[in-house]
Amino acid sequence: MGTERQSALRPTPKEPQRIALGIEGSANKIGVGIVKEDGSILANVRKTFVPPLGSGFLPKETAQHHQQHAVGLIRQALEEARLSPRDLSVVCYTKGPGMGAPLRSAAVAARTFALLYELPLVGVNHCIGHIEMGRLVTGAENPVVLYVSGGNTQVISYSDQCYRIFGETIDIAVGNCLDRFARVVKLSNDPSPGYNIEQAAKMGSRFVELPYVVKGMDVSFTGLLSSVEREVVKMNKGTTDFSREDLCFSMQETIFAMLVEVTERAMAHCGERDVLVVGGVGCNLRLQQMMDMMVAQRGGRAFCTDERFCIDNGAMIAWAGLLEFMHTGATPFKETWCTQRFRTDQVHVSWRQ
Amino acid sequence: MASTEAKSDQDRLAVAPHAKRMRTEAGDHEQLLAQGAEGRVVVTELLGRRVVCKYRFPKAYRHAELDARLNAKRLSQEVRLMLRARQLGIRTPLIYHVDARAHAIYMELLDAAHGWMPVKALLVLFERDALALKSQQRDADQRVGDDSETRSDVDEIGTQLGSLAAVLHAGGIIHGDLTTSNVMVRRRDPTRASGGQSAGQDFEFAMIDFGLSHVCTKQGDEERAVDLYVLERAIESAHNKLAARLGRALMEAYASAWPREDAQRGARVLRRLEDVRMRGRKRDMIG
Repeated sequence: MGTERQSALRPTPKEPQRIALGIEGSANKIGVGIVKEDGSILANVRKTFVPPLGSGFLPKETAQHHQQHAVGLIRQALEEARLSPRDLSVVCYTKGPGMGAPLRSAAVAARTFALLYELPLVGVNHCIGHIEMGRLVTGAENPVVLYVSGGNTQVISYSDQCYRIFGETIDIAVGNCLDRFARVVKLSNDPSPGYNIEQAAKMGSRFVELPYVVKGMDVSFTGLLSSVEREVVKMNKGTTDFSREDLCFSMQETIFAMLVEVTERAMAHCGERDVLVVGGVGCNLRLQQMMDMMVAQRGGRAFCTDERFCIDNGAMIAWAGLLEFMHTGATPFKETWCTQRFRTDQVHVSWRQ
Repeated sequence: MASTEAKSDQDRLAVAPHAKRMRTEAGDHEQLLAQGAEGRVVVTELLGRRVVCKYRFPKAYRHAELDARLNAKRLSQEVRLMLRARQLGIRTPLIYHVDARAHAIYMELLDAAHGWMPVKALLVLFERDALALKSQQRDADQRVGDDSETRSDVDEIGTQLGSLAAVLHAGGIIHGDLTTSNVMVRRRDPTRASGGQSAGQDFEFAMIDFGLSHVCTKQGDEERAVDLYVLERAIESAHNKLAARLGRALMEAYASAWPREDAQRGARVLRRLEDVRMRGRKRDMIG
């Protein structure tokens, strides 16, 4: 009902299929994607703020980066899709969770753009964006979802129009743990700390014992991070045989084993056979390989995506926003704010049975 | 008629989802009960008795050194803590034999034939039957030793789970994977005298899967709170409709079931649980 009213608002309803433009900017990437109702991706462009060696991305600088690139990316996405703003049905943006200043930069861009061209707006939960994009790209029907990124570590399963969180980190996110480790061992942030850890790990072979903390379906990384930081101090002093590569290797082996174990626990708990891995850490090939081995032992399937969709992008926001737009309608303009805290299980998933 | 129906439903829920005949070296009368994340749980025979064998097989995905370390540690922890829980008066499966090299524990079978089912399965039955509470009241007169004002079974399950957790925690044990799948339940046989049991306790509980259990540190409030948090979240995610009710009964019982000399301890753990929950809520932040 509401959907029909909204689509009637479209200035020129030439295109029978609705098209959404999505703007993502919750962390250090700003991305703009354009997605059609049938799931085809017309454009998906992105710029990443890369902080200097030894430091992480700070809210202020990251926000400035996003502000600088928002307009250019929107223009580029429209050009790639060969569309004018008038062809769009809806503008979607990340409502949260994420870092405040970067989120606001993207939200302001989205609101301005929507007002300029009189388009409806939809605020999207970032995590839901990852899940729906993963389902779209891989075709996984109803998988257990492992969502692993710089800010989030969650094991999710769908029921009753809600993505329920079965397990999560009880302290820092897995990507945060890896990023901070990369900083300590002076690995570059370009293209991303996680990628450089993955490459260094390939040259490591000796296994350093690190805390392995699984509590039910939850995991914890702070103890592990402190422990590996102590190893780094020893390494810098030359009082240990382990190299930086060995530490990268052992970090990955330990952390990913924890993630795969809690995923397996959630699968056993809810009787699901398939897994979908989303989020930036999800493009780590070693994690994907371990997940494949686990599901093979259980007779299921693992679905993973590559860096275009695993890593934050605009298309995922466009797609999840379009789903919500078609089933619930637009977000009232007054409610198009953004928030740092927005849990996956707070979203009413109206588009699924 | 109604009782046989209920029985078959029980059987189906307790065993059927995972049940699959399988052939192994040990013989062809092994039956897979569950493939958990930890390992396989099968029903097999030991000295002419039907028993459960839980064995941890190597995880292909895990680094061999890490895998061996975890399996050996979890096996000994599990056996040790099952005994310790038993000493606290909590029913756990009896251990018949431990094969350390095969990472296998042979223990008592708590099966549907003896009325056992996971609490999860029982709650699913309750949830499925929207009129559960009413029908429970109809059945109430068949049970002996009931309070005159019948409390619902859901409340009792919550209460019992809460005091079970309190007894375990007061004894210094952290279960580590406290979910409704890991507590078994059966209706107390009304014909048998329930010696020493207070009236109104219609259910008997047993804890299983101590694979992630450990003895808590001296302070331990944090660990206990996290243990409860795991249970709370398992209930919220798997039994959404009953969660509020179960949770309330559970937390009340938890606080009051601590031994008198440690009475304020239970309340302290619950306060700590608030912190753990808050941390959970904040976790969506980036950075």
